[in-house]
Amino acid sequence: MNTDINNVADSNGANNENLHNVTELTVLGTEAQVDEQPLNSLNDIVDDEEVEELETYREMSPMQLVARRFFRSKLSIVGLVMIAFLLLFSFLGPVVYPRWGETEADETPTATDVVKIHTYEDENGNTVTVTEIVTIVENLNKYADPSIDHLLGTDDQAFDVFVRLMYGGRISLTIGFIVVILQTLIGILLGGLAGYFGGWVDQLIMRIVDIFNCIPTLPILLIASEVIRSWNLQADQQIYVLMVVITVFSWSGVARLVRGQILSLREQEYITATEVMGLPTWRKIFVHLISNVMPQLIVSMTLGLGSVILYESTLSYLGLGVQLPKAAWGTMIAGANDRSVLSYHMNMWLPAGILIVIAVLGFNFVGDGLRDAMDPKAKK
Amino acid sequence: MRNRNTNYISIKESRQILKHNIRQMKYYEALKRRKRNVEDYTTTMRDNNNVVEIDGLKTVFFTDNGTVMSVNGVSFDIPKNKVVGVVGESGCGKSVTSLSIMQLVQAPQGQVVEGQIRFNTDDLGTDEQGRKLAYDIVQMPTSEMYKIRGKDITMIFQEPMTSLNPVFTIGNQMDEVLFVHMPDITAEDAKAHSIEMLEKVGIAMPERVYNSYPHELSGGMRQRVMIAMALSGNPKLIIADEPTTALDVTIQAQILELLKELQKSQGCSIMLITHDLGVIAEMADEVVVMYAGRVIEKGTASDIFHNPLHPYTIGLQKSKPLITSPSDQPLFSIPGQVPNPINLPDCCYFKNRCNRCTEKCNGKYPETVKVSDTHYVACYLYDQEEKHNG
Amino acid sequence: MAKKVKVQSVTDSNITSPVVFTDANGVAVIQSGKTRYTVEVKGEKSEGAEVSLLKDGRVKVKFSADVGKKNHTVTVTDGKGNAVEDFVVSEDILEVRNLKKYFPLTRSLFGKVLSSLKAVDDVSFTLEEGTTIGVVGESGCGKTTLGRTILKLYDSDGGKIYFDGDDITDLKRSEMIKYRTDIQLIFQDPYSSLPPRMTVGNIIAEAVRVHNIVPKSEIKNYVHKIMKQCGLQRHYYDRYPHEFSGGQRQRICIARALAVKPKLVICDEPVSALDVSIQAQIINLLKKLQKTEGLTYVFISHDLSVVKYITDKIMVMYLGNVMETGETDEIFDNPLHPYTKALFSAVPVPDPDVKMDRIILGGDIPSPANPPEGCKFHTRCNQCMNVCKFKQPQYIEHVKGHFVACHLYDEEVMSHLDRYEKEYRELLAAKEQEEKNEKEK
Repeated sequence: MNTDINNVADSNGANNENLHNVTELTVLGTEAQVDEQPLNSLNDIVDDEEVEELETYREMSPMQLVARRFFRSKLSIVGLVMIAFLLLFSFLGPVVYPRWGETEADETPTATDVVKIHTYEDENGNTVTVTEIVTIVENLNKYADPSIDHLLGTDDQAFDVFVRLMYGGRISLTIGFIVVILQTLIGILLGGLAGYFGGWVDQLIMRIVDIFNCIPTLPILLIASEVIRSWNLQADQQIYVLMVVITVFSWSGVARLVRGQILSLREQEYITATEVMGLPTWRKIFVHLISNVMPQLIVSMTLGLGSVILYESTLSYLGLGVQLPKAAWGTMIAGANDRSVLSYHMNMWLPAGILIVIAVLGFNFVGDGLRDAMDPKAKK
Repeated sequence: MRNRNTNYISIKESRQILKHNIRQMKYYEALKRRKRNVEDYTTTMRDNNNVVEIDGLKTVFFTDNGTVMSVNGVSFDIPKNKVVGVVGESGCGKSVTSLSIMQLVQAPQGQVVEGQIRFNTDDLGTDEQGRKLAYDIVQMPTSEMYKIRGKDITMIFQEPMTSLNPVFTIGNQMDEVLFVHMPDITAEDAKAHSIEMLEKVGIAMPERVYNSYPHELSGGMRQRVMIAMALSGNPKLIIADEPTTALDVTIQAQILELLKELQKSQGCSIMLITHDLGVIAEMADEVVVMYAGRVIEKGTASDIFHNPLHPYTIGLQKSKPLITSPSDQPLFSIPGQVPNPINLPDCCYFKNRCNRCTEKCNGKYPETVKVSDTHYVACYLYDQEEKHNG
Repeated sequence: MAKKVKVQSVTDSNITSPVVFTDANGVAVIQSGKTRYTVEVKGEKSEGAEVSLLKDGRVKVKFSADVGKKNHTVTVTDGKGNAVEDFVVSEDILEVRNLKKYFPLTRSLFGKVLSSLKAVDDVSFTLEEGTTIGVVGESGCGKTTLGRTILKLYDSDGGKIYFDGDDITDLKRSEMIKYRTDIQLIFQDPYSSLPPRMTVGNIIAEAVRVHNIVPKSEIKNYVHKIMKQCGLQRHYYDRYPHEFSGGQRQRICIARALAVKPKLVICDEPVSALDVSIQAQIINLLKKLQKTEGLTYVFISHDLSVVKYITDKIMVMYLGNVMETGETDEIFDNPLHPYTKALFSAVPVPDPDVKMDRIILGGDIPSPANPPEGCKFHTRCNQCMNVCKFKQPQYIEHVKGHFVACHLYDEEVMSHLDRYEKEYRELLAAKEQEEKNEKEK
């Protein structure tokens, strides 16, 4: 056979190649016939793979895993108890203890006897003691000490301090929740856009964030509050304005967090996969990216709650926030501006202070616990 | 819905597991803390020619999903001047075995609960029968272990990128090892020694490398540095945990060549952990095949590669395509997945993936059968033959 | 789906059988033995078609990737003028021409690129539908970048990509959506390539839903079908990825890619992160899917034995350049480039008695940011000549279909070695002179 080919191919070198190809064809042909049989066995093997797995143990569900890590820390349990107490106290408290309203002054006339003892010597040299009792009758029960009627006494308006603590908690917590949700939404939107698109969008948004970060918050707030006060709004409306003001000054942190997370998530291959799959951009950002930033966001929201409550109290204390007669913890502490109140009527401001501490600590403890629990890098 | 939930632990079970784990961890930690004298952790070697004898080692991890039997009764010897290859898939316990030898198992979750690791030392002399006294690493207090770890037994890790500290120079890190194990050494001597070691591992400009930071070196160079560090204490045993997995093929060839040369010239033993049968065939004198925390087959390299007995070993070898294997036939593949070693029943763990499974396999976990002087296998197929012959 | 058989296309009219020539009307005539077939291709650019004869006697018409088969009709008639039904129409589903991808390293103050990393430098290949090309190389050789540039995850810096008859090189993101389902990617790391907070069913169904691959009501059944095809059990549908091992996760990845009915799948080291016994399962699965679904693969890997097993064609890359390309069997039987040879011999063989004569390459892979001049491999080459140090080698077609970029096989270079030697010395002298001048300054 070999010689035959050589005889034919002596004229042109290229022929050799072509002939080589022809012989290859025949060889391949026999291979292709053999091909049939392994094809079947290939299918066999793959079908085989549905072998029952040796599943001898069960896993924890994702939620269980988080719960387990969360409850592992004692502090987060303490935090949870604190928050639960506050929520029950402020939202259920007024229902259970409806004895006084938020702005219901105790109008029982009170007679306060002011006793003065005058001692003087008469002309006989006898000491004469005269007791002067002046009964001051007031139609409001102001500055009452803790009693059965007023568990924590009353304040200068004769409002029940205990009841006002509950109402104040309602406002403080509500403001906290709403502001945190608002700032998170803004943060997700702007941070998400910045992180996903990068380039000039990122530059623009992050420079805005920088600007908000370098504004000295307190002076601006002082000015803002003066302006707001000049609008002569109602107490309710003022609360809304307060929420907006706090939100405006606190969203930048969330935006920065979201952007940073998205930047690192974008390196993950499953985000590349969404691009390969040709998913629409909104879906990539809001379904794939944001859902994976969620754990960090929940942590930052919880920690944020504490700081918002603190913020609100500060503002109220400075007289910029919730105004009388509405109750807020900050406003209640503001009563301590009066020196006599500070020294003689601790019942008016100390409980509010304690509640603020409890709220901020509680949210921080829970936030820390959640951070540990949701950190995917944490050991099982 | 119900079907789905069965994959998850109920709260009650999880609480039980937690309680059990805490009790167990406390117990083993207390055991570790108690005072021990030298006699408490001295034993004798079975064979003076072994560097390390591992006997019935059991290392477990107490996890939230249950107790993971990472190493479940592993026994094998590492003879002097030999390379022992430990091969197996991820999660088979090969790395945990090596960590147990180094006493580096992550406590308190991870605990060595049973068995002996006898380390052949020259410090203790021999007993009256001429057998050498040895340290039992399992019982050894950590403070004593420092004397062995990093000097007599050293380790090379898989990731040369992360096993060097990025803020210190190579020289710094190499000298440190020397200072720890040779307190009398002067700085100049240490430097000279380190540079000599770098030269030994084939680094062309040792002085320059000595003064550079890890990030300035390529992966292959870093692995060479790691090897130099491992060798600098003149160890008896080097544990190489996947030393070439992170490297490119051509660099891998360099490193393997280097390891082989150094092992011969230094006269130490290497415990080579890898999943690559090719690397094992290249390097190892003896091979240990592990599966789900157990040794399923061990023998010399030629036993394992020319006469593999356990269906898993056979399957493993067949499922790796060779450059010479025909491409028109489907690859042999072992079906199914590697089981996670939690609460495994007392039967052959390979049973459900095995193509030669018989009635007998439903019974207890098979005993290790001695096929020849060097070749052992844990499989019922050979148990029978043994009985017929005997 | 017609069976694919390896055939060298024959366009040389010098030999007797089979013959292809084009008559005056642009109609191809092919003769095998006694039968003479007339092949008529109607369409816009029919001259791009390549006609050949399969070894079973059937006629095969193959279109190049820039023409594509979809806008053409092919009719085949035999000598008597009767229409022939049984013929094969095929196409190069992908063609990459001189593709370049440079990543900027340093920029001037005004954003002008000063130096760049040539991740993919002048890469060309064609890929016929239903076949597999293997891209082999070590880390930093640009194989992953090549895959992602074909997917248009990166914009290319030169060259052309033709897919299924269309030029997709300069398509915008919105225009690319149309092709997204056609080209899919399977990742190396099955752990980071699945979204952790979605169930398996949702992961597979997501893109199906978005692109309306099947009607809404049938999605669940469709996903179950795909899962079964990929060897996943039914009840995995509601589970989360973290509950699975690497092999199962890679199956989920494959199922996700398969669900959108792709034509081309780019497999980026799909088995390197898996255990040996699982690797074989996944390779078998990929092969089975190629047969049943007619998929075309670009198989990127550093594992030569796997590449040998699964591919029809191989491209060996080194620092962004193609060193050697050709049919798989040809390259393995007859590797030409010193790098290919070293790469092959570096693979450890699982047999303790085979002590191979290793070609151990010295040195490290140079940084792709600062590649050597001339032939990029010359710093590690054991057959390096002086000419390699300054002249970049040409692609030489050593045997038909087997290209190599090495001076050793370039007759022009090899016969004028003296001249190049002289040139090299001159260059060297010039360089020294320059250095001296600089020092003096």
